[in-house]
Amino acid sequence: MRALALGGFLLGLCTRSAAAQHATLGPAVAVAEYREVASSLRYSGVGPGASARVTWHRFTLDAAIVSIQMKPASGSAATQSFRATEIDGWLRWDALNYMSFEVGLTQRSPDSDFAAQSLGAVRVGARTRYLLGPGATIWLRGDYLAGAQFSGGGTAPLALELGLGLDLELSRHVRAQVDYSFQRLDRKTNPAGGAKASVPIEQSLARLGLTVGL
Amino acid sequence: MRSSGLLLMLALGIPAAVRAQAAPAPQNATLRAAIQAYENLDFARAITLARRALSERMTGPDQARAYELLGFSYSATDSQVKAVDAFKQAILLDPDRQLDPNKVSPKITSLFYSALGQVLVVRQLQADSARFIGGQGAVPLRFTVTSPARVRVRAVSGSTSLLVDSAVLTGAVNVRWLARLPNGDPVPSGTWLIVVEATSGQNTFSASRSLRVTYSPVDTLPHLTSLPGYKELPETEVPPQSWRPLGLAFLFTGSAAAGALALNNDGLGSAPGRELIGVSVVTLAAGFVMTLRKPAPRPAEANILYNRLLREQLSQRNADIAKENVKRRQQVQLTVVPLPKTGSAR
Repeated sequence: MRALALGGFLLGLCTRSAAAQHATLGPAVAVAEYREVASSLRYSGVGPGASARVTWHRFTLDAAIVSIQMKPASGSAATQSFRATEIDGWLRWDALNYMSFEVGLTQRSPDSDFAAQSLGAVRVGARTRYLLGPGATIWLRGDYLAGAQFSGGGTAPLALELGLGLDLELSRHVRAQVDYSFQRLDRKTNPAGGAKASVPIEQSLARLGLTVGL
Repeated sequence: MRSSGLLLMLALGIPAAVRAQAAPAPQNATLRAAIQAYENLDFARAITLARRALSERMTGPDQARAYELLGFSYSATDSQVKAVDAFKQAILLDPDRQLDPNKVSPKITSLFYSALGQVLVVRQLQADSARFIGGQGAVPLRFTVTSPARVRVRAVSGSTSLLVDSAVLTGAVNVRWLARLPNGDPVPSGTWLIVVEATSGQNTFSASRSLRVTYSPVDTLPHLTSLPGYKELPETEVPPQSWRPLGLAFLFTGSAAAGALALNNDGLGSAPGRELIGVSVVTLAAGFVMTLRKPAPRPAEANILYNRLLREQLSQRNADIAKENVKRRQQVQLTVVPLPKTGSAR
């Protein structure tokens, strides 16, 4: 339900693009690997997605949604597949030509609470970028995922996300976006009020998208 | 010896000077005979005939010429006082009369100038053609006053009489007529008479010159599209080709890989690499392609600043021109042209 609400919000942003400087929207495909608790619990999968961007002066609002069918990786002890829907949002402010600061949200929801933890967090970080050539921009970002919340409870004092990406202008209205993100969440729980247990989570996700200027 | 030299000088110089000084043939027959006698070096007869001619009815120019011939003849006969008196009469009749020093002997020329210093006349009154915006220019006037005198210069048209200058003067005089009414407005168009009156004791002399004053609109200035001598510079520049894009792609992907390795939780096994490798390959390929491609033009800040200053200057100049044109549309341009000479009055 929340995913639908955020999707509606994104659509609303896109329809208001006339007032913005630039707005892009397009489909994407993502591959991901998800690990939880121990090295034996690994999933990998592929799924469709979409991304949108609205630029207004020195502000950029990025949003992405992917729905990945996670399957137990080879050699994994996991037995159950699940579909994870991840929604990401970034609001960026360009402080310099090559540096910007960003805040945002991330929400990952598996369709089965028993297979994986859902995650919700606020991200705060910075991004640096460089123009490689005409229409090609490379970027690198680092975010802290603050206030991470899990469906199974617990906290993650160390929750970081690293990103690498490339924006390519294929034509005047069409852009390709390739990005990689790596999340590490050192989740700790104390089930039944006992001693704290460490249940780390990691996810690496690569996304390839094509967007069209509106 | 002395008289033979004088005779030679007179024979070679003076008759030619008389012919040169008196281009059109005189109407009076007696005067023509006097000139012929002078050319035949019969100075006594020339004097007699010139005097007889002066007792006859003659035109003003013939009278002046008769007195000049008397001056030449008296000079030839060494009657200097009489020669100066004759020249004085010639000058009073024709104040603008000149002797050509290349054709007339120094002796005669000096007697002529001696006569000039003994009479009060205003000679060679000249006005130059001029074109100027009303109130911002002047008409140059030049004349010569032969003796110290109170000189009043006036511009007269119909019942309007404007004082141009009033001073005690002698010699060559330059005066500027501003062509303005007392209230500062330009003088009305039409014919104006510049009158120069010289007064010294009982002697008075005046000379005049007619001018035509016409009005025309003042030309407006065209707006500028560029500043002369300056042109805008390109606001972007293409940096030289380099390996920098590939190097940066390596740096960014290397940083991401190192970060992912550092962040990896060993308890979850080795860091996942499939996604990172895929994105890194694409990124490095883009860096390589961009290295081979012509670099993207980038803004040339100095040129942008220069162009901005240039445009500011241009708009400032055009604003000034617009202001000037508003002023010019309210002004009038005067064209002053001297009319053919009508003579002088005594």
